[in-house]
Amino acid sequence: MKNFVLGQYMPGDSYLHKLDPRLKIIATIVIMVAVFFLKNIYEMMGALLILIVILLSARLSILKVLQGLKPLIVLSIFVFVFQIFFNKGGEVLYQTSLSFSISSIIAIVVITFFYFFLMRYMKLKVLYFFLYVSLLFVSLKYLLYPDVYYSFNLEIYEEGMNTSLFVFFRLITVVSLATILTLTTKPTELTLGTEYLMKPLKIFKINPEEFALIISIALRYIPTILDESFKIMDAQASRGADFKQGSLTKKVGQLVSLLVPMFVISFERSDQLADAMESRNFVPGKPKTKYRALKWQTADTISLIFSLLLLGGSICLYILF
Amino acid sequence: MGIRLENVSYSYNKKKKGTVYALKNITLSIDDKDEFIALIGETGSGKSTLASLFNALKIPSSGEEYVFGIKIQERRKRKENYNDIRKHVGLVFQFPEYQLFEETVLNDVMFAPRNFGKSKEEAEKIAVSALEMVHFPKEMYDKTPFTLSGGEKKMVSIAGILSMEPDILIFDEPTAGIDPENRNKLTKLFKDLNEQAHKTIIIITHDMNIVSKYAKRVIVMSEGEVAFDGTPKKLFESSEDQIASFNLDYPDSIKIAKYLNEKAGLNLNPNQNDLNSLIKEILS
Repeated sequence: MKNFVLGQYMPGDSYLHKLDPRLKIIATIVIMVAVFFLKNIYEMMGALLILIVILLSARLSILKVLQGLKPLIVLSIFVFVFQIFFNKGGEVLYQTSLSFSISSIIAIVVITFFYFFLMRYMKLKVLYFFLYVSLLFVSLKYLLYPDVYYSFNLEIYEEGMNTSLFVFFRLITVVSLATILTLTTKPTELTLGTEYLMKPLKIFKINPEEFALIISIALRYIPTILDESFKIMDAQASRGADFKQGSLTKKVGQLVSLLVPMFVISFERSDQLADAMESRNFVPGKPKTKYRALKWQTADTISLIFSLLLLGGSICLYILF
Repeated sequence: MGIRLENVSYSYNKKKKGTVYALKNITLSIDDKDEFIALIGETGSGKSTLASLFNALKIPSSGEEYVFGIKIQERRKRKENYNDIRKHVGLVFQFPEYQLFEETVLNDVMFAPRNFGKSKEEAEKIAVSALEMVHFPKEMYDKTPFTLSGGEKKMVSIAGILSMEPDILIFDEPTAGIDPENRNKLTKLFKDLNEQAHKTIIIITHDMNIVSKYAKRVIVMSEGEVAFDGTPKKLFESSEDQIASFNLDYPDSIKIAKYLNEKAGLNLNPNQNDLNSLIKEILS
């Protein structure tokens, strides 16, 4: 849980860190839209290059951003495999026949067994997974002894390859952009920025200040509530309701003993917080002064122009080609 | 039997290098009956972490721990179930809000025996006797636990642990935030459980009066290590610098005796268990 990078701030004083949060939010949205105007893999490569430039200007370690992509692994693998197998347009790039025989089935079972057995000792789980898949592939391809029960053709087409890479990279680019935004912007600045950007919503009788307050309080209390839930789980475990073991039906039954105290504590906390805010003269809806005022600088204007240029460029590419 | 720790260390984040250990090289053994231990030390010294090691809520990062003959480790045999340990070692948490959830007080106390496979009737019987032990008024058994006062909640949460009938009972700051009358009832309960039911009691506390009056053994934690393990008498006899270095206070009886010795020129024995024995000494 604590390795969750998306939404985590990394302190620093790079060019990106110093930019105005309003600009950063707008620019992120603009560049994301620009990415969706791209049509083929070569343009996407260009976008990846620009992404790396942005990354370098933020002086973030690429490893950190990659960690933020972790939750996407399953989704991207799924998209990749789906495209590569089912999109059959263009020329055939690679063709082979895979077959099931006694020896290959035994090999698969043994490999799978070792895969799960050695899993906990592995550090780079993703690379390990690829090794596993390629081993399965090799055993399906070459182990034909004694006779083949069933075989099928694996064909990879040019278009399937291109689209799968394209979709994969687009996913990575968009999510990395969002990760860069949250990695370089403090949560307080982020809420301040959204507050400003939502000002036009006043026409619809939505108060942006209240909305920003809701967001910042919610963000602030995530770790607290998480911590509290661990304490409740410990307390119930010492009364014989261990959430880490036991059958599923048992666990579901025990969930009540976690959820009820969670609700009670959350309501109590919100009461206390409301009292504490009121005792410091907070009145909902009244105008407030800001501790940190946002300042728009030349660097922000330049960055805005840069991101708009990117959008314009990708629209041009979309129309021209 | 009981609890045995050998060179146990514990850290909250496991993998990173340069970890800060919450507990360092702890070697202890605790008997499963007749002990009355006070676990003391300043905040952040690792008392609560140690307590949750005792009933396998936390698992040692290194070193060996045996609780009732079962080795506590990350990779366990499939048959071993740490629930059984928790039946033997009951841990009462500091804040009762974390465990109350049922509709009525009685049902809540029945939760633990039900978890350990008792039938409804049996569980109810055990729950009633546990509630009687903490002197919880009978007419309030059917109340919702959430409408109770803080002290009453605490009593219910203690009854919730007593209903498991554990051999070793650990209380995390049981007297914090409780009025004097209930505090006296509680300490009397601890004494009775220890002397009549021969249970091992471990209390985490900052109240030195309880330590000197009731405890038979004191374990002082300091920066994650066991700094002292012995009788309270020996602890309070040690030099004042030592007590100050543990960030501990003296119990009232010793403070008063020392004050009287200094100001009134009396020659009292400063090491008194409680105020009564001090008064006796003054009168004699």
